[in-house]
Amino acid sequence: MTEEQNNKEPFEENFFEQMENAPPVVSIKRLQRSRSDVIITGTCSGIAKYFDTDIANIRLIAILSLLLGGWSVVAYLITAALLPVEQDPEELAEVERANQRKENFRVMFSGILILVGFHFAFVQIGFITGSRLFVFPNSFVFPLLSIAIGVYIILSKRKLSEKSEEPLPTLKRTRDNRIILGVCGGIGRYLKVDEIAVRIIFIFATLLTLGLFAVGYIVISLLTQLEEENKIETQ
Amino acid sequence: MRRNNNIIIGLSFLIYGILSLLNGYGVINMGSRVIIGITFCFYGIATVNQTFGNNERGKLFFASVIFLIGVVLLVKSHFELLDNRGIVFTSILFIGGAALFILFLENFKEKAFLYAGSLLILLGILSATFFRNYGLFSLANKIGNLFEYFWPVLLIVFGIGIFINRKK
Repeated sequence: MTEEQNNKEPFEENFFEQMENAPPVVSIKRLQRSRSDVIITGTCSGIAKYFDTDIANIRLIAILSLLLGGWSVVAYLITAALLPVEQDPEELAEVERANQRKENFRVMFSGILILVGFHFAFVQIGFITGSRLFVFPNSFVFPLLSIAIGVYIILSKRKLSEKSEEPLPTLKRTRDNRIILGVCGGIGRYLKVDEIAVRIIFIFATLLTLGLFAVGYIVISLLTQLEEENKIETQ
Repeated sequence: MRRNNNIIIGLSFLIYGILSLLNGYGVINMGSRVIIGITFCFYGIATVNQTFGNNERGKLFFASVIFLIGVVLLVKSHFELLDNRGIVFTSILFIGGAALFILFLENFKEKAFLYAGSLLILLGILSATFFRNYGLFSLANKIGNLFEYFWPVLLIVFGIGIFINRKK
């Protein structure tokens, strides 16, 4: 017995030494729906975290996959139903959350523009007819989809908002965020919307009216002041 | 206390879905343009009523534009128009002007919206009457023809541009 004990002791000592000196255990990556960066269900965000890649790319691929006939919606819903929800979501500061919202809006907006562009380009070329999504005609799918979205929005977001008492801001041309005179940037800030959306609407309206719409731009630029320099520093 | 805008969006989706289903099965006889027009008008009126004076200028502007697009769609579907392109040209100027004008009504201090909006409305009226005699619409039609073919490419280019510059 004593011999056996002597033989075991060095092994046990080594084992405990190794355990003490071992590097900290790295948590195992799990494929799960994110709760810290969600647009619909957090599935794309979860997949991006699992594969350690940019979330925007995964979201863009997900939006463009709708060009394949809409089956990706079914795949997305099944994946969202099967994946567990993240237990410890990352806590973000208010500034980080605002940046995240802005970036998410831009990714969705650009994705939808590219999707619609490709869809109608394919329809014009004759690759697709554009009258059917799945095996059912669009005249059946879209109304049902619309009703489902309507019911979901009404049931899930039924909140009451109080009248805001914030003072009215002043319209000013932006100094830091401008392409020509900073009018679109200023309007974007005044309306609290992304200035890129304002710029695109303005460009389309100007193109379709042979430049007449730009008169409004010039008038606003003449009647508004450029924002102060110290304001940029605080932003 | 005011109801949240999400309920209006939800109801708009419901109105569009139900009317489209009824239309699809022949219960009612409306074109898709009329249904979209009704939905846009509902959303526009309800949202303008909710957001006016409530410090939600983005929604107010957007809802005004949506309401006026709805009106144009309803008018276009109920009347025979000789110049379909011309109405787009005039509508953009008029809608842009009216939406800027409503921003002035919300905040009387911003005279820039009043002048720019009034000028755009005036240009809209002139485009349908005075400018038309100078062949403006024929030029607009030529550009419209080009735009009709290439607008998907424009959308793709804009989309890629925004995606690349999303963090700026």
